[in-house]
Amino acid sequence: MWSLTSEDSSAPSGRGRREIAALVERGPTLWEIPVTTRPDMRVPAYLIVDHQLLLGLRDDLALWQLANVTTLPGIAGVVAMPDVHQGYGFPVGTVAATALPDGVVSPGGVGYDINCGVRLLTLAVSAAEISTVRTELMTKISLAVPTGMGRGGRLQLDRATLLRVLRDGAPAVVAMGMGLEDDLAHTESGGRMAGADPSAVSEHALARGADQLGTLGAGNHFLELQVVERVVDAEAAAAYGLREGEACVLIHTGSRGLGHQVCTDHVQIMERRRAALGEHLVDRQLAGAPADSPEGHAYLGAMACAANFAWANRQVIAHRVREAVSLVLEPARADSVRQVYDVAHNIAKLETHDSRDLLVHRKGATRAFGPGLAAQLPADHAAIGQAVFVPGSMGTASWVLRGRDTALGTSFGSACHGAGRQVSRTESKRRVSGKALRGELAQRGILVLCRSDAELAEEAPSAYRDVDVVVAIVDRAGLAGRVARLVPIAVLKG
Amino acid sequence: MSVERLANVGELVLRVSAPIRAGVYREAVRALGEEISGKPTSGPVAERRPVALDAGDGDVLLADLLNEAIFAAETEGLVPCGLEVRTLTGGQLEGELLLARPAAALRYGVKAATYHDVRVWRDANIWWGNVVLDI
Repeated sequence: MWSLTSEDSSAPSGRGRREIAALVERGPTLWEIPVTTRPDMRVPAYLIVDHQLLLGLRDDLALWQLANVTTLPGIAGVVAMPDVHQGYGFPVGTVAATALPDGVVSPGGVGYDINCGVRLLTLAVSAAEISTVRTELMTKISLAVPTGMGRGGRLQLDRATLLRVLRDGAPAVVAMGMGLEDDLAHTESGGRMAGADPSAVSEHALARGADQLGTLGAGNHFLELQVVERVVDAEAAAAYGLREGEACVLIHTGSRGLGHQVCTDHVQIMERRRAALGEHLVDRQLAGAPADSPEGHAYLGAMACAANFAWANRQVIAHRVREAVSLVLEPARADSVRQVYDVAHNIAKLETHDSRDLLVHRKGATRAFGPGLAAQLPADHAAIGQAVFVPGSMGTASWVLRGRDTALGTSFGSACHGAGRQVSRTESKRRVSGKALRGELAQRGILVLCRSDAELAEEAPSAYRDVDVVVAIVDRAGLAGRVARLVPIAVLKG
Repeated sequence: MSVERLANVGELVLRVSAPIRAGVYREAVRALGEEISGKPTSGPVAERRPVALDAGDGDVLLADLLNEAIFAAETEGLVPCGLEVRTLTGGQLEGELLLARPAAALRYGVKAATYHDVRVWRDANIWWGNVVLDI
């Protein structure tokens, strides 16, 4: 039995303490916060972590927040991934399933960056060859893919086109001549979530999104040029098109300002509903409504629009990568750029688990479906399982994994989405010199394109957990198996 | 008046104080502008934008007000630098958001002001405000 206490500043008089007593070890990578821990919990919460990671959560509010999530009406299960850390409302790195029709949908359980996700492309170019054109290639990409806050892209969408993108997602972009049908076949949900309702998207959200298609954004978003350093699972790597020594591009971004505004708008709607009904919530950011209510339908319709916008966004960026390859190498080489897969890690999806219809919220978590759910996978991945991507911090490795059927019983078929931040941006800047970090990365052969040293320091590798440790836990827990380790040779930081 | 920034993993907490309640909202707007632009911004004022908000309570009002400012920053590149309050009653505020043109590119992607732990409260003779920004 364990007892962990976290500092909490929510008490009006200042700092208070939130104690989570009696964590129970259920296995080497599975811990339980029992339902008896607090009287308002409806189900236990589980953490997929090892002893060492659990110690690291000592000063993190994630445990308390996980207990908060279990208080939601209709909650069926709550599971934290090894990269879990405190968020607002839901911790980042959480899977929370609610039972339909009365279980709630909570925008906070998806997050502000709806369908933030990762797309991996293989370039069919050797590491040796790509290193000769690395700077030119990344420069071309950086000119075509704006980064930073509010930065607009080359595409200025008129209203009709924007609405079409919201309804149709990545297929709308392919129809505009940017991408391949094969990309769609290798994108979660085909790059389009059904049920998108543009009427549930506010004018503020449309205004924020109108010129942001094809942009990377800021913060921890990035585009990395990588090389497959090591293949661990040859069969899966072959199915995914990964070869040792070959170059890849990993794209991490989401729905930009449009998605952020959708979340803001609908948290506000949910909170107004809560206040009008006099419902008590331990944290306002958990505000939600029954999935089958007018407010629930409105949010799900708007969320689908934002998810589609994000898939469209990554589709445009992938197209820009192909354009850059065409210019720097030759047009025929662009035809060899293939998409491994594209996964969402902030989304809510209607799924069936153990014959129960559930709304599965994944906030900083991805699907990790095994071969048993082949119908939901690309045909060439069906026998292997879904590709799962776990980017490390800037300058460290990323992993490709394959989803396992055993994940269904443990985590509603989910895995983590990254290494997990462990140090705040402010603290990271205090500890790390951005200029020194840039030089250190250069010495390791990593080209960094980032506007400011301060922003670079915020994303220093030391700000995140060790991705190899996190992935090892995911593997041991049976969520997803390791396939290949990728290392960066250039980073375009958002 | 004071502004304290408490950095948590992946987010930023603004804690502001002022002698009167309206001052909390003013300080929070200024602090947000400083986060977005990377430095204190008091002007010159390029635009005075009317705001009329009915948030239900004073706590949520703080987040809703900052979200209006975030919208202006992201869509128009304007930095919130102040707030003039005409009326403030419970969760209702009428006034003008003061917006400046930044000298350099905006720094931070502040996605939103969240409702997590958003509070406005009085302790003795000081008013306090607490809001978590998603960055």
